[in-house]
Amino acid sequence: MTKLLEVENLHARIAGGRDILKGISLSVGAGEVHAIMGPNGAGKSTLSAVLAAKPGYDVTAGSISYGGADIADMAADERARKGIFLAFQYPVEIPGVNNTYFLRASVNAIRRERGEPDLDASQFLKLVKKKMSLLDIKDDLLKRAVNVGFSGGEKKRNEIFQMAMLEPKLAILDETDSGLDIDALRAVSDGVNKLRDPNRAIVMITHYQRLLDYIEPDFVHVLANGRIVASGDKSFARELEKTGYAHLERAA
Amino acid sequence: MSAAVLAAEPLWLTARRAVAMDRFAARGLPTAKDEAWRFTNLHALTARAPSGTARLTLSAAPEGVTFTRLSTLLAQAPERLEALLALPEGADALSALNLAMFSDGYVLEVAPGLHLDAPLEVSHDNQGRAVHMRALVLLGEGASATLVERANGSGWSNNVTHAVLGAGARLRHAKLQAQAADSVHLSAMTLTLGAGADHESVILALGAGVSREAVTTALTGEGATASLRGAYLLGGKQQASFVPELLHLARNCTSRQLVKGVLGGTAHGVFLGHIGVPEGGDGTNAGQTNRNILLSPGARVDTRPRLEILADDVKCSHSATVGALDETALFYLQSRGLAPPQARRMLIEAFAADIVDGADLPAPQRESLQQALSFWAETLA
Repeated sequence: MTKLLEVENLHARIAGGRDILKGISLSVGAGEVHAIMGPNGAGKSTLSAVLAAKPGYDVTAGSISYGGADIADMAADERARKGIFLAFQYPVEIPGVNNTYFLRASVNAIRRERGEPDLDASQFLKLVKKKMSLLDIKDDLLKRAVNVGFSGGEKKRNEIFQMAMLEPKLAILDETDSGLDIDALRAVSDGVNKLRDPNRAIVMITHYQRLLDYIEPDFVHVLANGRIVASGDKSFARELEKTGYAHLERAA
Repeated sequence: MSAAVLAAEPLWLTARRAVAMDRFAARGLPTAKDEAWRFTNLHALTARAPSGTARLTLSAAPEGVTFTRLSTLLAQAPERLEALLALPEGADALSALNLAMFSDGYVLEVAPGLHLDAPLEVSHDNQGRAVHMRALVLLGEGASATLVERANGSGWSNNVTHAVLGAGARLRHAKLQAQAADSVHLSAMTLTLGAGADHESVILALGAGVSREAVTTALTGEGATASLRGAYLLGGKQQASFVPELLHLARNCTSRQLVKGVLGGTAHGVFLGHIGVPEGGDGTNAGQTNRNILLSPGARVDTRPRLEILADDVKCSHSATVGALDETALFYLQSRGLAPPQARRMLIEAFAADIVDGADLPAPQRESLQQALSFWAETLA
């Protein structure tokens, strides 16, 4: 059976630049949590951008299939409606757009795609309350403009809250741990752990091993110089903790 | 030939109309050489619409308030208008044409000290005609009122509104211009504010092929406050100008101009803002901001903030920006499942919304303006 996400020999670049991804192959099944680790400049953020179809990147070779279909030509919004979610490394502040208004539009766009009716205001608020209590989030975040004036930790928690609301099949967490102090990291990790689900795959991209202390992956990959140079199960993470990945990087 | 327009109008008016028509004939329509008009394309005016009277709808006047058609008051009590229907020195050609040609309009007069909670509403629809509408707004000392104005339908308008606020009076004015795309809407509003008077205009220029909103505010009494909040949301070949002029003629007056534009297609927005502080305008605090977003390579903005300051103790600021929708924000919204038009609409609305959100209006009137902005944002997205 094909996996939820099959990346094969993916080459990609920032439009007009040189290839940053140089032949990535990755297979992610439903319910699995994959960690992709690597040094700065390895191509981690490019990989998350290409998976989410961020404009300005070109795929120059290889393929991405999701749910058994090639999604090369699928735009970001369509991918999102089909269940791909990107938690941003730097969540974007959008002055003037209320968080609740935005999230309701988003939830309903995704429900429509699934053939489900829109949630009205009261159904939506019920869902918000349920997810907020799951993630222990304060509702004052919802009354503000999207990410405006949020602390670093609040922004990341808001990303995870959106993930909880949108219930993706594939969540890509791009450096979700960056810039968080230990309490915020724990809170965000707790949230992600609560969202682990047999029907949901999670790909977390990180620079730091410490995230894996909080969210235990099923598989660990090391990305260096645009390629996955080593992969293993969760015990590989513990091994990496001792050896570091500098030697793998050199091998690439 | 008699210059009378109305069947039974006072002689003084007919005489003034003749003078005004001479003034118009001598000056002719403004051209690209007139700085204040250089960006307004008046070619559309040369294609003549039959002149006539707008369909005018006025809400009921409460006790102590005159809120009536100008033609009615001219017939019943012309002496109340004799001092007010005059051509001011320096009036431009179109204001002169308005005095020569107007057949109707409205008068709002609020007695001193009277506070009106409920807004008064006026709507006009040119029904395909060329209309010179004239309006008078007179607030006695300490009076307060909210006036909501809507311009709909097609045709061309050359409207003049003259407002006088007595000491301590407070006027809130909201205007929604949503005329059909083949319309021309030219509006000149002049305001005179007495000591401590307080005025705010919120003007949404959304419709018409060519529109111009000139608001000239003379702060003549100490401590007067004036604010203009404006937005133009334009697509296709639409063209809109905002020409606010704030004259700080007395001490310790405050003025704010905040005008925002969103332009798609080959639309053209113009902001010619002026703050004038002659000698004696000490203690002035004036701010002027024009922000624009261009949605397409063919859209264009000309923004000319202008300060003329001859007093010493003055705080003035001005800024103008022209940019595009934030690509990062667009991607963020799209990554949450919103299709590009929906994402663009959200950002356009967010950009323009504070013009209305921050307006000092009763909730239902504010919501109605918000809905109009939202609708036009959607057509542009």
